[in-house]
Amino acid sequence: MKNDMLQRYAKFLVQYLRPLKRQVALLALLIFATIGLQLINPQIIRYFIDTALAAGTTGNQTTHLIWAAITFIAAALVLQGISVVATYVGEDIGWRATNHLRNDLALHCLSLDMTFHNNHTPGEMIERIDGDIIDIAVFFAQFILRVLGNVLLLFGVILVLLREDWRISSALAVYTVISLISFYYMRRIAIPFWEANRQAAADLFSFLEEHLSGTEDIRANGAVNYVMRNLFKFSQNRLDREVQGGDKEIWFVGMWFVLYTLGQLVAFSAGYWQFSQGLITVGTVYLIVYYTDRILQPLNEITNQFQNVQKAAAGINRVEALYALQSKIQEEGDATLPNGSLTVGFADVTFGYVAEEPVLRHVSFELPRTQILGVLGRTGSGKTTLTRLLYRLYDPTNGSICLGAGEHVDIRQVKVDELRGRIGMVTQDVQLFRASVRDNLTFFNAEISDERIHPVIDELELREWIDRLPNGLDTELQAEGSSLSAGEAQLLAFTRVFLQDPGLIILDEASSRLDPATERLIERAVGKLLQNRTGIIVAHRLSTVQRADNILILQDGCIQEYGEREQLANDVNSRFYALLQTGLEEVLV
Amino acid sequence: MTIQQGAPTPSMPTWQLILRLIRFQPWRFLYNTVGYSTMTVSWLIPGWVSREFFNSVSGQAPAAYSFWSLIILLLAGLLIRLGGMFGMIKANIPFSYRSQTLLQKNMLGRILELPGAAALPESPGATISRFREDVNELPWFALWLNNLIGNGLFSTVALIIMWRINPTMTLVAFAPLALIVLAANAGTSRIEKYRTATRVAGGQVTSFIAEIFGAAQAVQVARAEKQVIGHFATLNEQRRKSALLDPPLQRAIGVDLYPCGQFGHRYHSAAVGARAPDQKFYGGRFCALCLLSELLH
Repeated sequence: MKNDMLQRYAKFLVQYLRPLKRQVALLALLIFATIGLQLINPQIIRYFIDTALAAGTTGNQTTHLIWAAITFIAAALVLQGISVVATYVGEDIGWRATNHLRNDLALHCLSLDMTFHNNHTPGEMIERIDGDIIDIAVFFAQFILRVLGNVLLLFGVILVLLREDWRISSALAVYTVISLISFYYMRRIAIPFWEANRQAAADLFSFLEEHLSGTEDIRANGAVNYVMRNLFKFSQNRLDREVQGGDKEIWFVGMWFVLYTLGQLVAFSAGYWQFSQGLITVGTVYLIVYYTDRILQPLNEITNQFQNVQKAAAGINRVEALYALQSKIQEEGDATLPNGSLTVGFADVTFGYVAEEPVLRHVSFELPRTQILGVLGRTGSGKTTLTRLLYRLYDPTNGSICLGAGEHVDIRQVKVDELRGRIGMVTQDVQLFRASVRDNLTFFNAEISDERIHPVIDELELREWIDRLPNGLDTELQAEGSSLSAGEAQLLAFTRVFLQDPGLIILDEASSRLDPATERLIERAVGKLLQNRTGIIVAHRLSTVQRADNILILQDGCIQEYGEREQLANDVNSRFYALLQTGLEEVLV
Repeated sequence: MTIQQGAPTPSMPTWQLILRLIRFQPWRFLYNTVGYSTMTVSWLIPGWVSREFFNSVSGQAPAAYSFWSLIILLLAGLLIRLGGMFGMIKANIPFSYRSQTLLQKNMLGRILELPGAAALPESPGATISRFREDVNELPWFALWLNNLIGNGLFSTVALIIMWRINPTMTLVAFAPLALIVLAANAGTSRIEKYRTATRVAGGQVTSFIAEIFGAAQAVQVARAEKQVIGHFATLNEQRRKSALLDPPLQRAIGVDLYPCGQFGHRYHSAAVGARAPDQKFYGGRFCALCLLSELLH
């Protein structure tokens, strides 16, 4: 590991562990206590053995034996208890720290511009915000304390044995160093194989994911055999990698077995030799054998922890890569927008999601305040894109967009938050969350009180619908709003906008047909929404178009026609006139 | 693993599925059985050597073996263990991954047979988790059965040795272990409850991530980024609370150490993986068998 990497990881640790100082201190205390007990316990057994053997020659020592046994059992129970508490505290730290990280990261990503969101599927975001971070949890919860603890345990064992005999102690020290080096070396050669395994698995599953999303195409193109062949190809590759990884594991586990036997050989030989010289008691021989037996455990734990760090490092790198992304939408000024309804001005606006393919070309128009603009055009003519630019979900490649009352303000000069707060939008498909109706209405804003929600519900005539819900505002909506009809979802979205009280409304009208009752309800709601506000409606229905003061018809990103509705409707040469004659739906949907 | 509501439940019980997987590669499975059992039982040798060693140093019993013959025995044990381990790993990797490919092939084949809309009961993302986690769970469970066999053998041999040394001592050693097994079984249902709660809470977190990033535009338009993440934090907090108790509780009753407790969990996981109807499992049935395998662990 390079130095700057270590620094970065340390910074990461400090940032997220600082708020948990007390828990970390407690965990440290607990881990050190377990180490102490692990060192003390075999000493009790030694006393037990030596006393028992002595009892055979010098008479009754039963009370001593019983006390030794009780102490041993008590110590074992305390050890078990402490390790339970330590596990709890460690888990707690891990979850708190990583949840903090998850929230930060999700907020950061959610605030990135739409180009980012178009390139990253929700499925991928699950992997990056949850999957990658799970690997980091161990790093937060355990790494430093476990490594430090086990290193101390190793030193402790060697020091305790030093009190018995320096030769045995140094033999064990040499053994420890050899084992540590072998473990480290084996892990290092195993890691590239481990990464190759991950890659082979990732290839297989991204292949599967791709083809599961397009099963109809596969059948339609008769590609079933091709897909199966590829499944076998990727699986074979994965199997080959796993077998290679398994071969490494054989070496690793084999080495573990060899080291273990080596340790036993060292302990038996040393113990046997010392005992036959009459230098130590049987209890001490046991002590030596016991400590040697247990020494591989901390060694293994230390290398294990380092392997976890490798995993965490991969996770941290991926998290940092996300943090490094900046939104393309930058705040350039802090101008404010006037209260009340707003004028809208487009000046020679050109924009394309990909620079070479403009979706809007040289669009210019002015919409006075409180007037309503009906936008018409075929699918793909740029209607929705036009509305997205107003929110600065994207910035135009050329030209500028202004809002205002008296004087115009370029929207790039306004704080994004302020800008989006002054524009309300209802889209065709309403995004609902699996949460309560209240949370869906307020977008999880707890500051909006029920006293503010209820009048809006009454005004939009939603009272009857709310009363029908089993728990009123507290009713939980099912995933993707599957428990709501399209009309109800739209009304919910209207309520959201009403609560926001914006100066400009953008309404992307639903093209689907609704039942007449809901249709009337929505029509009335639209009327109330647009009262004293400027409105831009992407219209699909004649009734909605008739609300508009002005009409804008787009074709291939260019303005084909723009003017007052009544004037256009009476002009037999206008495109709008022709549309009214043929019927909107056939042409526009 | 995710629990999906409304997904169809297949009719094949888990054990039948496992049996079919074993019959697909019976030889590899058998190699694994032999390899694992050899490896496990050979661990009796160092224990036995230790006993002989302490007998000879303490002079409590007549030393039947010289120091050097004990060392040779130790090395012989090492060789046997290495051989068993080699066979085990050589067999279990192909067994597991070939079984996984078989399952994936059958699943994918079936999906491609069905008409488009009916083929996937869930989103492609959730389906991938079936192809990945659930498929992975099943062959490893089958292989894990060999652990039970190996540990059972180990315990039986150990029990016989101990009994021949001293029946009373064996019974005394047996009693606390039986208590631990009982405690583990009592705790199993509670752990299962926590696990299910954790899985549900985890599912809420991941599906909320999918929801917010699927609705990124709407969230930005409503300037609701902070509020939405506030709700996300609440869900995370719920998951923390339910996930927190599982590992310490396991540690407390030693489920992670004792195969019997594990059997219930493993079987449960495999059953959830197979989406089988028999997802409820009562560990008690296997207790008699497991008591044996707990003995010397």
